[in-house]
Amino acid sequence: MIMMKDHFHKEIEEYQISVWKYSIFALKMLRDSFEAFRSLDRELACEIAGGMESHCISCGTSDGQPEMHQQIMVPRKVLLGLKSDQLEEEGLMLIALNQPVASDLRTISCCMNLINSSERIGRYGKDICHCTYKLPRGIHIHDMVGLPEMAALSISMLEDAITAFRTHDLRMISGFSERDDVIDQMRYAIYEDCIRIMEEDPGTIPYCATYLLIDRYLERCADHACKTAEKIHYMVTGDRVDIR
Amino acid sequence: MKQQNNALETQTLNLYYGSTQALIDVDIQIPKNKVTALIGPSGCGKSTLLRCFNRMNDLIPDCSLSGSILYHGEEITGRSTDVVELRKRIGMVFQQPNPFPKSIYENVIYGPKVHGMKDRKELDAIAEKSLKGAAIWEEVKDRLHDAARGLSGGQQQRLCIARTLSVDPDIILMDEPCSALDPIATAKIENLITELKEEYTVVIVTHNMQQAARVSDYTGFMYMGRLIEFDTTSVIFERPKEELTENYITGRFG
Repeated sequence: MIMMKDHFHKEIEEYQISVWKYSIFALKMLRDSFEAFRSLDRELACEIAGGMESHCISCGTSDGQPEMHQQIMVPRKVLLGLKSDQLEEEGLMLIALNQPVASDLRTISCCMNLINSSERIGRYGKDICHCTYKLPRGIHIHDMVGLPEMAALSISMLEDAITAFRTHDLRMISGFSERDDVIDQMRYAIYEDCIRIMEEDPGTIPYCATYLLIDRYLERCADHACKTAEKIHYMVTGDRVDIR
Repeated sequence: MKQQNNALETQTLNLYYGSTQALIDVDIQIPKNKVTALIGPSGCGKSTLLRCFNRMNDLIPDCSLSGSILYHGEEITGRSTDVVELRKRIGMVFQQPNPFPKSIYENVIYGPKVHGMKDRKELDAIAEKSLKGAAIWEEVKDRLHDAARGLSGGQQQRLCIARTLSVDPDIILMDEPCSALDPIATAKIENLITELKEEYTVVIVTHNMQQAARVSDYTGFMYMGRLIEFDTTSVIFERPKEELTENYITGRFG
């Protein structure tokens, strides 16, 4: 006997793959943004986040601001927003046309959440790019006060969440509470270090103030990883868990 | 104590049509003043189970059953049960609206009249109360003596519900009450079902999964004569425990 909803389930499967790819796109945006910041690479930052509206879109009018040339190319942040709307629309259509229940409904719900989280993550990437513009070219101070380690951990959580979404393998997200605790500790350690460094040498303020912003962005990204993990758990088992 | 919260209950109910077994060890509890939906593929036994509750299966030759059916804790499968009285207490609404070829008014007071009521004033009061209860009073109050068959399908179905209410039941069984109706009439019946549970216990058999999800508090999933899963409707439609249920409601039925 042919399955009644064969077509619908194929659509759900394809939808999950689209959402998965979108989350990978967003995560790469975050990863590349942090890399742009780490190496103070304005070209890469521009490719992701576009220019800073006031002085980048058109070349050569930077009024002493760092020059940022933008090629005629859509920055990734624009694609991020467009794709998010499109995927949300697709999810709503699946619900409206098929009235899914049980695991189908939970899957679509999880997809919608992941779309939202992915967009947020991509936008934190964009914000990190904007921080890149604020610092002069050159080198960082104090090894970025531990931000690279925090970025690595935050990104690894997102990677594992996205893998779990695709494979339904809950082992990937089983240690998220502990990993999030580490993120929180890092966040406060970086905060305190930055304050101390700024007190000792006010010349470090432009750097440390930027580090504090990124500290916060990375903590938020890990939080999105946890939220996503909760939704994946719900999608797979039907039970709600509270991570952290 | 707990039993008193159940309007109906079956215990290891087995039912046979001749040598074919239609219900297998069904244990179900229908809570009072709630809407309970029975879902499942055609032939799973849900209508058969529904008909057991007011002994409509008595009318089918060759039908035999074992086990218990309790109505407010009282056994109703025995010979001593007054079936006429039972069907007064447990009314039924069918898939196809089936008004009598009489006026709207005559349809509604048919039951009380058969049960011996003659007083015109009393009958008028019952007609109004029942038609109001079935949310059709406003539409028919000025033409009570028109032919019932002249009403639309949705109105006819609500008239049939009014006819059921007229004998003052406490349980209403509905066997796919909306499957012959358009979406607007369906919405009216669904609203009505939600109102009815204030005073009555409703058991509804439906093939429309969304309808079950919308109107019921509890849902039972049946398959091949067995009650596979029974739980609150939110659990059944959000995270059913049985794989069979999951496969059925998501349409992954092989």
